[in-house]
Order: sequence, then C-alpha cells, then structure tokens
Amino acid sequence: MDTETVSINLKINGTSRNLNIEPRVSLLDALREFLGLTGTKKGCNQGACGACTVLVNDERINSCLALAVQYEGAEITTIEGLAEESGELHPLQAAFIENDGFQCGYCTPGQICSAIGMFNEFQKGLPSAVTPDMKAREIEFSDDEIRERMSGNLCRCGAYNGIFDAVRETFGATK
Amino acid sequence: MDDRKKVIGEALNRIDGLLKVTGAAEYATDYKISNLAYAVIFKSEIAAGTILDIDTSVAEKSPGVLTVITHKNAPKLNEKGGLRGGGFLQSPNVEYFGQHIGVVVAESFEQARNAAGLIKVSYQKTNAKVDFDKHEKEAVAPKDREKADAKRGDVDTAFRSAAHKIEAVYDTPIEHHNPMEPHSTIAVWESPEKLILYNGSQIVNAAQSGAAQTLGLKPENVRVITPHIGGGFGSKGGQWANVVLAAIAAKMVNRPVKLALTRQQMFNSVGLRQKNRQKLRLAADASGKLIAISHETVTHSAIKEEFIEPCGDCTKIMYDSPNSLISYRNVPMNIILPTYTRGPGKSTGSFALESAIDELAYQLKIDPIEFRLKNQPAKDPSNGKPFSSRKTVECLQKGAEIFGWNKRKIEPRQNKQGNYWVGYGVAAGTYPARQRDTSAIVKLMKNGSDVRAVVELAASDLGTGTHTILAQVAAETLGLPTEKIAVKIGDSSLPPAAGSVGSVGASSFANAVNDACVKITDELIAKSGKQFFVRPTAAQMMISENIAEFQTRVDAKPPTNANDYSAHSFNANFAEVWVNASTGMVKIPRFVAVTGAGRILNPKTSRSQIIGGVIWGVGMALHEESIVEPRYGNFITRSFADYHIPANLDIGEIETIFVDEEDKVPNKLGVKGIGEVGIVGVAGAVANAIFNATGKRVRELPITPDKLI
Repeated sequence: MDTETVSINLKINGTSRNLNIEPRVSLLDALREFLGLTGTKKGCNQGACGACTVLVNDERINSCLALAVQYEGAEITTIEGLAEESGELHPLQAAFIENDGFQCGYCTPGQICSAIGMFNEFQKGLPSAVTPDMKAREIEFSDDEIRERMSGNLCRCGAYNGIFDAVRETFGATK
Repeated sequence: MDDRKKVIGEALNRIDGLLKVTGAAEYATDYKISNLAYAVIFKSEIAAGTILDIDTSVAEKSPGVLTVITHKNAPKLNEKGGLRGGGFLQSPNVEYFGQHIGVVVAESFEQARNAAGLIKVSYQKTNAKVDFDKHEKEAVAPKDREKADAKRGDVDTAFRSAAHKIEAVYDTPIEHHNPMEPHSTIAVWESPEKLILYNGSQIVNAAQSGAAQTLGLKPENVRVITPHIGGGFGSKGGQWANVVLAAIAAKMVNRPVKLALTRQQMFNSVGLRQKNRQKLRLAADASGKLIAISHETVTHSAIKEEFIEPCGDCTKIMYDSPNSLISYRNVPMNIILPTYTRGPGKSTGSFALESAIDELAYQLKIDPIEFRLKNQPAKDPSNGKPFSSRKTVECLQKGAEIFGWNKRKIEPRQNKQGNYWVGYGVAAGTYPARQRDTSAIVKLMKNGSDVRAVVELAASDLGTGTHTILAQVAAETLGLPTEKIAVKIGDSSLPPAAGSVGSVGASSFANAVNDACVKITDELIAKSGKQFFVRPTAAQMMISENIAEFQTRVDAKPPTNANDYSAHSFNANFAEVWVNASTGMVKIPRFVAVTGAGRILNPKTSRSQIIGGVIWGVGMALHEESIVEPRYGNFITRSFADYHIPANLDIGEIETIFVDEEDKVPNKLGVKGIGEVGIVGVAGAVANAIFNATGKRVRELPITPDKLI
C-alpha cells in the first residue's frame, strides 16, 4: 500500500525535473533521495545548522524546513549548480579552497550557498543584528557583518576563520 | 629531469577541496544505491527498567512499512563484539534513556519516521541513577588499571605544611561531539554472508571487525567504505549499535537499507564526554617551587561498561613536584557510555590543572608564565624517562612575545575599555605523540613519459587532511608532482591502517606511505642491477628502466626505541577576553596558540586543525553543556538550539604558530600529530583571562554570562 503522492516539477540548477512525491517530503529530501543531488547535506533536519542551505530565487533557505511541493516554478540553485558549465568554479568556491574554508567539508555546500544568499541580502540593504544603524542607506560590509550573517551555518570542525577569509576575499571588494 | 622537490611541509591546498566545494565528495549516505529501503530507530522513554510490551501492530500496517524490529524478533547479536554502548535489541532491559529499542524499515524515510511514531511501549520502571550530584558519593575505584591511584611521595603531608597552597574543585559538564554529519549507514548485503557498510568511520578496520564480530561474520566478509567523513571527534572512533541495526534491517527486508540517526537521537546514541569533578591541590614553597600536586577526578560511566577519560594525564607530566597523586573514582549511572572526545582527558584535565596553576601563581604574586617556567621537569616525572622533545618553554616565551603578554597586569580588573573588562590569560597543554601499525601499498604506472602513483591504505580522513598529506609524502618520496598521486583511503579492503584517533593518524599513515615509497625506490634500483652515484627517484627509474607497472607493500611499525622516551606535543595558549560589564557576555577577539608538534606536513591544513582545536576549546569554555533532566534522565539540550557550539560571530582572530622541532623518536618522519593538542589548554587560557579581566574565578564550565554578573 502506497501513500498518496503528487506530481510536481522543480527547476533545479536550470534544469526541469519531474517527480512524484508525498506532500510531506522536504525540499532537502527531495533533492537528496529523489533527485540524486546529494551535495546538499542534512545536518540537523530542524533548521538549526544550515548544512542544507540552498538558493531559491537567489535567496538562501534551509531546505530541511521547506516542503518540496511549495517550490514548483521557483529557481532552485544547489551547490552542484554554482560552477560554470565549463567547470570554472564560482569565485567563492575557489576562495574556499584557497583559504581552507573547511575541514570535513560536510557544512561546506551550505556555507557557500548561504554566503551567496547573504551577499544578495546585503546588497539589497537588509540590516543584520550587528548593523549599527538599522535605518542607514549604506551598510558597511564589516568583519562583524560577515561573521554575524554567516552565523546561521555551523561548522563543527571550526573552519570559521577560513570561511570568513573566503567570504571577505570574494565579496569584500565588490560592495 | 630532476623532479625532486620539497613537497612535505608545503602549504598545499587540499587535494579533495574541489570535491568538497562542488558537493561531489561522497559521505556515507550520499552513495547512490538502488532499491534502498529506509530505517528509523525508535528509543526508550525511560532510563532504567524493562520493556513489558511493544505494540508494533499499527506501525506494521502503516503505508510502506516493510518490517519493525524489536528485541522480540531481532537476530542474535554478539553485544561484546567490539562495538560500543547498548541498544542492540537483544533483551527487554533498558539501561539509559534513549537506548535503541527498535527499528522501523519502510519504502521511504517519511513512511518509516511516521510509523516509528505509532509504536506503543509499556515499561516496568526501576530507579534510575541520572543525577551525578546525588550519586557522586557512591563513586568507586575504576576497574581500568591505568586509572589506579598513582602516588609519588606524600601529598597530604607536603600540602599540610606548605606555605602557599590552593585546593579547589573544577567541574566540566557532559558534552557532545556533534559532528555535522549525523552517524549514518547504508548496509548492502552482497550475499547472505557478505556485507558492505557505507559508514563514516575514524578507524576503518575497527568498524569492520566490530561489525563482523557483532554480526557473527568473518571480518573479510565485511567491507567498510568511508572515504569522506563529516567530522567525528571521537564519536566515530568506536562504532555504535546503529551500524549493525542497519545491517540486520537490510537482511530482514532483503534490500539495501539507509539508517541515519537524527540530530536529536545522536545525544543518546553515540557516546558523550562525561561530566568530571576534579579536585586539585597544589602547594608551593616560598620561592614558587611546587612541592605537591594532587588531581582527583570523580566521574560517571554506564551501568555495565566503564569508560573514564584520563583527566590527570597532563598533570602527570606538566610540572615537577616531589609529591604527587592522580586518582579516579567512577559512578555507574543510567546514562549512555561515555567515549573519547577531542583531547580526551587532556582538554578537561588541563582546564582544572592550568586554572589551579593560575590561582597559585596569583597567590604567590608571580607571573603565571614565570611560575610555569620555574616548575618545568627535566624528565617525565611520572616514569623518569627523558622527553624525546619538549617545547613548553619555547611555546610560552614565543607566545608571550607575539601576544604582547608584557602588557598584562598581574592584578585583575585593571583594564576597562568602554563597557568591557579586558583580560589576558595563558595556559599550557600537551598530548602524546605515537605511531601505530599501518600497512600501505604504492603502485607506479607509466604511460609514455607520464608516471603516476597510487597509494592505498585503509586510513581515514574526517577533515584532518589525510588525503593531502599522504599525496605530499608520496610525491616527495617518489619524485612526482602531487597531481600525479592518487590517494585511495577509507576502504577496509585496502591494507589495514591505524585510525584517525588519538592524534596517531598523520604519523601512522604518513610513515607507512613514506616507507612504501622508499621501499619501491629500493626495489626498482635493485631490479635494474645498476649502481648510482646519486640515488634516483622511483619516477626516474620507471622511465629509465621502461617499466609499465610496479608495486610494493609495507607493514610499517613504530620505532623499537619509541618506548624508551616520553614523547608528546606541547603547546601554550594565550587568550584576550572582553567581558561585557552589564551582560557578562564574553568575547574572545584574539587568541594565540603556539605548538611544538614535531614536523608539520602541511602548514595550511595544520593551521586549520589547530584553529579547530581552539574553537572546540572556546566551545568548552563558554558554550557547551548537555543537561540531564533529573527525573527522567533524558537530555534537555538535544538540538543545536539548546546545545550551543561556537558560531562564526563567536570567533575572532586566531593566530597559530608552530615552533621548529625535529624529533625522530616517535617515528621516522618526526610527525607528532596535532588533532588533539590544539584543544588542550584552551579552556584554561580563557578561564584565566576571564579572572584577569573581572577578578571572578569560575571553576565550572561553561562560563556562561550568569556566572559573571
């Protein structure tokens, strides 16, 4: 006896994918268990660690707290979709390697997707908990802004210094 | 063509970096196995007693469910087969809250999880011991002989008559490893007797033998595959029941099964760092020479099994004293078996020892670095052996210079910056340096003028950089660029290796690979029958002798004289803390870690390792604590929302320095290992800095704001 499934279409990394899933399947599990995109990781499955971060319409979300069926029609980008088709890495991916922004690598896909989403938020002028003036038009892309805005992505190996360096190197000059 | 280049010791990027930043690195549950079924464990909701009945009837009829396994239908397993902890479904007895009591296997993860919630269990409860404070008095001497009382001289008499002394109790709480990758397994039966386990394992061969013996299989019929591991920190050293539960589930449904623990389940599934109550007594004469050191630890283990982390280990060797006592007492409790956790015993023990040293230095009005320098032992005080090398003094002096220690005021509460009290703290640390038996195969292949090599061994890489350092060792020793080296590890079908545990990984793996590469060069030279004025590289020999393929194997062992010496890494840690005078929040904007750890194979990955150790120490000092609910015995803190580990904003600048050190005693390459030493002394340095900032001596970790306001 099967449970009830629905047929949906997800646009992931520029490719349309059809799948039949139960409505209760999270976006994370849909990616990993149904679509073979295992780059996105399950660290806590309760929205506390950020390992499952993906980009939806250029915004970062915890895919473990999202139901796949909510995302029909959205542009979903996962870690597998960041490099160019030629194989050229996104500058942030390259900076993670250069700055040793990881050890075990399990949080890395989430960190990278999160940092890209974070910088999009920053460019829109969204303040963070450490922004000195919430009403300011221009926010300084300061060290604490980076650290605060990346604090939703836990790294148990303790690669924060390398992650910080990679993010600052990639986005710091382009503010 | 001379490709001989220095590669060992170069700051190479990780060779597995590309896989990790593109999501292509495969961890245990990332393997694409067809026809997978999904298993979800369910757990006991009492801490002690007996299961009277488990009603699985509703769950079994739930959509997609293939089977439900409990002690009533589980196959017989050997619980003493080398896996750790309980929860093997062999009896109705419950010894801790959250013991595995069953597994649901279903077509999908969602179906299995849903059905696990439909299980009805009734219990006969008995009195559970879950409150350490309540049962501390029942502590008994441990069974482990290494934890027997170690006495030298007469501590009590020396302490009583001493001019300067301190006696204090330091508490460290239960902590959880919490690697980012939950413990997960895919079990695939190739035949009724042959099993493949995709499973993150710090010791690949131990996972293999543990699973084999528990399941009653021949070890050669169990293959463990684990090339990438999402962290472990001790919790994936010894393996736990979940691995074999995946295997029996796969057997019972006759399909491959994926079993991933949830984050919440990890808190009572895969061990923990136990709570330690450490009583330190230190006494010194008027000149500041220590005359008594006593370190007495009371802790807890599981009801039937004992594990005690060696909190007194640092105290054995750090300082000279004619009178010394190290002891342990243990309370068996209804809490899951503790296990090795990063810097086992040393990280927690050094917090107590280095805090006490700081306290006594303050009482003596001696600078804490000077006090440490005054009391350095000439040889290992615990066994009289010479140290193979010991850079404590250099680490303290170099660190003091770089950190700017001379700006520190000896009196606390002297430096206020805005609304922050600022303080400096120092603490030293140590960890043993060892090599363990490891075999390795090196294969050379030539295609035209292109020579490539593969090194193979059942080593593991849990993020430490094993892939990269082994490529470096092979490249330099064979005379090839690192791009021409393939490193095959994380598979028990490869030559047996030590594990990434106890800081033996780098030394054991690198020496085996080095030995194999030296041996293959010797063999190629011998095979040519030629004499050489300058020793050629293996790569050169492959070309000059036109050999298409060649391979050799070594079974590397530690040097025979290693035990004649006391071999350890040493470090010194310097913390600058800013304590918010209104809220008690602590910031650590600056930390300097100076380490003498022998030869550094890769400055980039080793820097990351030490930084990781420091961040673990910061977590221990300020954030981490697992709280047991005293009525039921469950952990109240069982998510990242409750169990706090450092986040990005919690971490400031961390400078890592390695002092030059050549020490060939522990192993030929002079590698001491750095995975553990990085955390040792960190919590002490932070606590001492907090005292210097605020005048408050906090002897109970973590130092949360409530303890400072």
